[in-house]
Amino acid sequence: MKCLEINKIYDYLEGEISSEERIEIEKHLSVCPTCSRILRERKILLESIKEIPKIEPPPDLVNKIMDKIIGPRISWVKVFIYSLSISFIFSLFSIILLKVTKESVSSIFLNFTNSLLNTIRYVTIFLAKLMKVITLIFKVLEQIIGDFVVLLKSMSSLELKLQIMVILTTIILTGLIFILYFPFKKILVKT
Amino acid sequence: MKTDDKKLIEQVLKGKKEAFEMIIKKYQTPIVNYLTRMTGNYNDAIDLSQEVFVKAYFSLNSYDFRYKFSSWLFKIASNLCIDRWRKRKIKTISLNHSLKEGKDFYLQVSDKKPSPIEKYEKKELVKKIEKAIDRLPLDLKELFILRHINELSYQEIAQIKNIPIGTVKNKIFRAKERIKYLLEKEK
Repeated sequence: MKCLEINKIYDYLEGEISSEERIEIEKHLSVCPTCSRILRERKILLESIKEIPKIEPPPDLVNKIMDKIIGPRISWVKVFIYSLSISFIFSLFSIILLKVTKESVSSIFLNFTNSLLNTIRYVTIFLAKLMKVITLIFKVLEQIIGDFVVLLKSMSSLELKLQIMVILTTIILTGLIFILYFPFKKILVKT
Repeated sequence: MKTDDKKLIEQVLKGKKEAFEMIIKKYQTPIVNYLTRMTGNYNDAIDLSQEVFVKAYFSLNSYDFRYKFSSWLFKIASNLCIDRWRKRKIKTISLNHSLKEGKDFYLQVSDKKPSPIEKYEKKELVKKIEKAIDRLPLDLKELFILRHINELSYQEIAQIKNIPIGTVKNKIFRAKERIKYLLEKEK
């Protein structure tokens, strides 16, 4: 058998030959030092090629591609946690202020929460007029809020009144921030 | 093609966009490896990888289920890569350049002296090979990468590049011998 062609040696090393060819090649290699040497070199080359390190894609690649396909994805849990945290900080700050400067700041706070409730009341009325289907629901809501304001106004204890207002404001702000998440979109987008 | 891919593609085509995320997760590493080796620049490769998957997503309707999905994806990657070169007018060697080269590198090697390849330390040799790959003519480089970095079959490469399997084998053989020649020349 004459000496092996180098491409055959590669095929042999890469397992791209038939079993008959393999036997023939091995037979020749056992008697030909030149071909054995060529094979040894190519084997080193192929083994080293296999050692070439794999390149890892960046961890955010999948999200970046998905953002391009379906737009930025919002993590609703994150949005809710952010809203709750902001409201909690606000409430905590309000309570501290109330404790420290009872009269002056508390009246401002009371006015603020009253305005907030009244605004919601008007918005509720407007929506009720706009959407006939849910008119009844909003009227009831308006009634409840109205009654609540009256109830609060009729309460004699200022401290109890303020505590209720703080809780109510926390709930309302949580809801509002939860809905108005758009300004925070970039921060809240999943990374 | 693998059933997994088929199922995922069918889900995407039915409107379940999230199924495409699984496809990206599965193929991001081979595509990034292919493009990094091809462009020689990681950031360019990442940009191109994004383009590849976005293009694949929006052309998924034209995907033919008879072929392997990976082949189709690599075809997109290859086309985008070549387009990028053309647009940027990066200094390139003609795609047919290596075909016209008359030198048969392997014939020049003497079999009497010990080969320099055997003298290299393994780590050093791997680094030298990486550099040598970079110096290959584009067509040889691409086929070599598809075969030895992405570990695709000759059949699959022939499908991706739309050339006969014999040509693929021949060019990859030439690429390996060119690498060996460059390594020996350097030592």
